[in-house]
Amino acid sequence: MNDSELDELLARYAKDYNVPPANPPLDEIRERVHASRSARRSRPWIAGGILAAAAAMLAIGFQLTSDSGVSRPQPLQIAVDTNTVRSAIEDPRTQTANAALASAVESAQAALNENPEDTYYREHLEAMRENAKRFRAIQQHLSEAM
Amino acid sequence: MNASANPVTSPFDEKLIVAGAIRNERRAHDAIYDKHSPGVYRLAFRMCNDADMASDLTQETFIRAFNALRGFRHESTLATWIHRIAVTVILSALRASRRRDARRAPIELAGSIGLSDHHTDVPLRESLFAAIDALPNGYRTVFIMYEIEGYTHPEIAGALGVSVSTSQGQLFRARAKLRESLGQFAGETRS
Repeated sequence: MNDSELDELLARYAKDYNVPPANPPLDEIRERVHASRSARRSRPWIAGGILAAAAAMLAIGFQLTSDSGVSRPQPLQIAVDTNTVRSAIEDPRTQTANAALASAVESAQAALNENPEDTYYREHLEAMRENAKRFRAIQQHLSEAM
Repeated sequence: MNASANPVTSPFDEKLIVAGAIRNERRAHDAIYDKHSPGVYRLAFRMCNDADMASDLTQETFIRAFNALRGFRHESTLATWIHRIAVTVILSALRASRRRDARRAPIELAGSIGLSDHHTDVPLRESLFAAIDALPNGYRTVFIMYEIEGYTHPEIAGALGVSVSTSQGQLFRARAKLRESLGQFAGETRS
């Protein structure tokens, strides 16, 4: 069998390779795409939630440092309302904020990888990263204070 | 780009539709989806041979495309841009899932034991499919897009982010590998 005969076989049989269904569920996929985008757009509260959670954590942090009278908290020397701190850390909103921040950074990075020129994501990515870093630092700070 | 069955859209129309999609107009999203989803789904299915996975990959492609439309600069056609996202999504999912390993085994086994009479009984068509499965992802993508789905080399080059000559070279090498495999299974001794 020579090359041209083999090429003929290739062309003939390759059309049957992984043949897609005649009626792919494109309408169903469309609805899933729209649902996903709607959910994304209808979650502006996430940004607000993150800010609120960060503000709450900061407030607790400031309270701890001002109660102790020192600029840097000394866990063994200050009175810490551990219940308040614990509940703030374990609050589902804190977990949600953590997850949302991580997800937002990941999504923005993915979008930026696809479109290096996308100024929208480029401008926001660094800010999101910085927020995530601060938020983690606050939680770490409070965990240590307990 | 595999959208010949769809109504022709002029560059001007495309700009209007993209602008509408950026403003989150549902009709614009639907117009883009209607035009490009059949091709994206077909390509995803040809690459992964799994209906659920093809649906997920099509969904992921359009979510990413709609989310990233602000960054589309009309430097290529929208079809090329969407297919580039699709190929990225598909190849990264394939790398993650390793679904092809199961079907790759027979051709590797056949290669390792030579041209025994037993294996020349394997139907040629199945042998070809196993050989396509066993191609490196780059070759396989180009082969499927050109030979099966009918994309042109400039379209493939745009979707893969490579030059036209790279696309042509990968197709040449893919065919050579497949000819070799087919020749083996047909019981031929090839130099």
